[in-house]
Amino acid sequence: MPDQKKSLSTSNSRSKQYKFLIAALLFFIPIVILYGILESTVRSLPTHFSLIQHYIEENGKDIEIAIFGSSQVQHAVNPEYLSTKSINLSSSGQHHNTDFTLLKGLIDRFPNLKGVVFEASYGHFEIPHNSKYYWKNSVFLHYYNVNTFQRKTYPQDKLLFISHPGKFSEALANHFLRDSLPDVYNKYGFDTNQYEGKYRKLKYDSLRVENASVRINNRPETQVLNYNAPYFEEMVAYCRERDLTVFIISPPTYRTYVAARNPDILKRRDSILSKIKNSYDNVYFLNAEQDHDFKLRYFRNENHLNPDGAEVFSKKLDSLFLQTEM
Amino acid sequence: MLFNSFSFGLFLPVVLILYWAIGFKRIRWQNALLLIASYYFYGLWDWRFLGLIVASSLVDYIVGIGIGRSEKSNKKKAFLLMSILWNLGVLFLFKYYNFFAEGFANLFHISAQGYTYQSLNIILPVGLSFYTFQTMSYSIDVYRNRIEPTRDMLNFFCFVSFFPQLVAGPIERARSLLPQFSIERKFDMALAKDGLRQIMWGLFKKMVVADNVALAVNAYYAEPGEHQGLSLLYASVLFFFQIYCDFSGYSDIAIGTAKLFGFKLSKNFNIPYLSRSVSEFWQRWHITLTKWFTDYVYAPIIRSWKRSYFSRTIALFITMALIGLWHGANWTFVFFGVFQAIFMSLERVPIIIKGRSYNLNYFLTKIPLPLTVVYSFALIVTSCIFFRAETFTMAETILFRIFSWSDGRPFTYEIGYRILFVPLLVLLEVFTRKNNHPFEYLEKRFNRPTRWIIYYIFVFILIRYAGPKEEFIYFQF
Repeated sequence: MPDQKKSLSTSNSRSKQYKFLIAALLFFIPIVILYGILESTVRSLPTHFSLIQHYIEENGKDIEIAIFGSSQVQHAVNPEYLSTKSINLSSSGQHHNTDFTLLKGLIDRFPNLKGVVFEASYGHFEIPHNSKYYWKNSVFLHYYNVNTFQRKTYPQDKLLFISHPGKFSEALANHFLRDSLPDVYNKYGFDTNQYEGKYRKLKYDSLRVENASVRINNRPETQVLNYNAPYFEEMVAYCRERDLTVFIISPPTYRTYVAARNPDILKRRDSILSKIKNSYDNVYFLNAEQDHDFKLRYFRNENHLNPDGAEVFSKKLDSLFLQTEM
Repeated sequence: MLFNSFSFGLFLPVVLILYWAIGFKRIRWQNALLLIASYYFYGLWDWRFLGLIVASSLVDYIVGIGIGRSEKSNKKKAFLLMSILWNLGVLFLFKYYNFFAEGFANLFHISAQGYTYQSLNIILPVGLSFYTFQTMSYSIDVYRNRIEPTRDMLNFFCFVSFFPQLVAGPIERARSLLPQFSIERKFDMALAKDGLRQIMWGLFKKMVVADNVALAVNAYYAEPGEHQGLSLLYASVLFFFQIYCDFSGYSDIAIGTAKLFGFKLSKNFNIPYLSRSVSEFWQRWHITLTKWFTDYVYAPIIRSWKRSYFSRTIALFITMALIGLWHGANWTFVFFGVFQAIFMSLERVPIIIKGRSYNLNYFLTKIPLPLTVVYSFALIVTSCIFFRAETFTMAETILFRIFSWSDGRPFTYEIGYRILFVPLLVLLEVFTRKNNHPFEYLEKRFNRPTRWIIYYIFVFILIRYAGPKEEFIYFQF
């Protein structure tokens, strides 16, 4: 009898487990299917990254200059206006550690590479590097096949939608639902319709712009700088060892931004750059932070250019490339 | 492996299916699987940490048996001392060495006299403070004859490393968790379903509330000197919700996960923002830690001294300072505890009216709840400024700017409409406060289709509105 009781209790427990398993599967399967649809739709969207991926596949062998940086560089350099075959691999929030990993991961695909552009904007050295949770790690892995995770990767690391649901939901909504001001990318992945921003909202009224608040990071972070500065030097040394010409740029900023800068941060940045200048040959600088050619109408906000400003800046960068023997 | 990671989403079902496939009659096999899974879960952070957890388990396992076998009290004491020295030694070495060495050097002006101290460059093993407290409490309880020492090594190792609560609690007592490894754990459908619901609620708190709110807090706390008082007050209130949702979210996921395996863990949070006093706050916030310190620090001090308001106050200050220090090797954490101790001691001042003794806590229960909540919440948020600030100077700047209502950059919500998740959380928790978590209420009130619709809405919110992934704050403790 006790044996019978035992087996009855075991089978009872088993049936409860199966019931639970089926209920759980019924609940989760629609979620997995829906996610699959979302993921595949996101992958089919023409984005800045997918166009760059395409460009690399088509023109990788001919690329002579690779440009790295944050959103300031992303929106300041339109390769369309560069006479040397170039690729702009910068993106918003991208820091030197990601730039360096991308460069090392892509260098073999650019056999004709002669020059590299790095960003050294105001305060750049006193902002911490991208963390291991940087959402674009999945994007770089999927589109460029470069591992920026700072660890071994797993299949789920290639999932795009889950890496930043907010961004990708917005991208899906923009693509399928809203048709005002869609992103218009050229073949280099540069958004030629990126005019929307604070200054347009202020109708480019210089008085309102002057009175508007300035978003600027003025917090001194000397510990961060102590890590970032040698890291940057290592990037420059890596390029010079491979005989690559290095261009260090700082894109234009509007005068309200220039006025709000912390002189100590600026001094520290400039001393790092002058040390690099004295230590390495074939390193060139283009600091357009206070370039008066950039009028209000060239900006989206205090430290980002619009496509018109990008045209002017790209042409200036092009002249530098042409003057330089690479 | 983070609870809110894809890896955990794969790890959990695999371990769960294997666990129940083994069958509840084979407890030892189930325990062996749990131990392997727990070590795998922990080893993914850094496999070198595994040596430490195995050593800690072994020391307290041996100490337990040693105390149990010893007849003489001196021998028992020696074994207990061995456990305490090992556990506190490990904590000191990995967590507090640099803090104390620096403090000592500053106190005696060592560098001015030409000497230096050697700082250690070692990483703090994840969850160290949680599992050392758990193992240490086992040895103390065996010594106090509150529990019998276990001779089952497998069960004891499982108790120390049980993966749902290994890295951030709840800090379980041996008498509550250890016996659960020795009994048959039958699959309980209702418990498992509730576990899943609690996991979902925990994920909502962590991924949607805490991780979004963190953006605003980080933005304002990055440059406190630049922002106006209102913004800093807003950020400080949000920081309270950030740590609450981060930590209680972890506890919910841990408790829910344990339920799936047929285990019951202790409740760790009970809507702390509804506390009427600072004293009550600690009965609702990190309950297992409060109980640990009450049993092993506060109560023994009280027992060894003359019972008076003064001695209780001293014991309270020592306990709260240590609770603060438990959170991290920084004076700001110590002050976080001491600040609360000041108000807790004031709440306990005896007030004699017509020969009867009362205290402020008594009167606070007579005042309408919203008023007392404002009182305790204001004090808790103020103390949280010390918890979040990296230095005293930073905390001072924030407090000064808040209380002087200073001007600064214009106020913005920083996270836009996502701020609404905070009142949503409060509403749901307060409305369903008699339940362990809001989803438990759904089971009682709605039929399955309605419940599933609500769950799907929450899954959508989890996927769509999750903030940028941040590690659980309490992992660093």
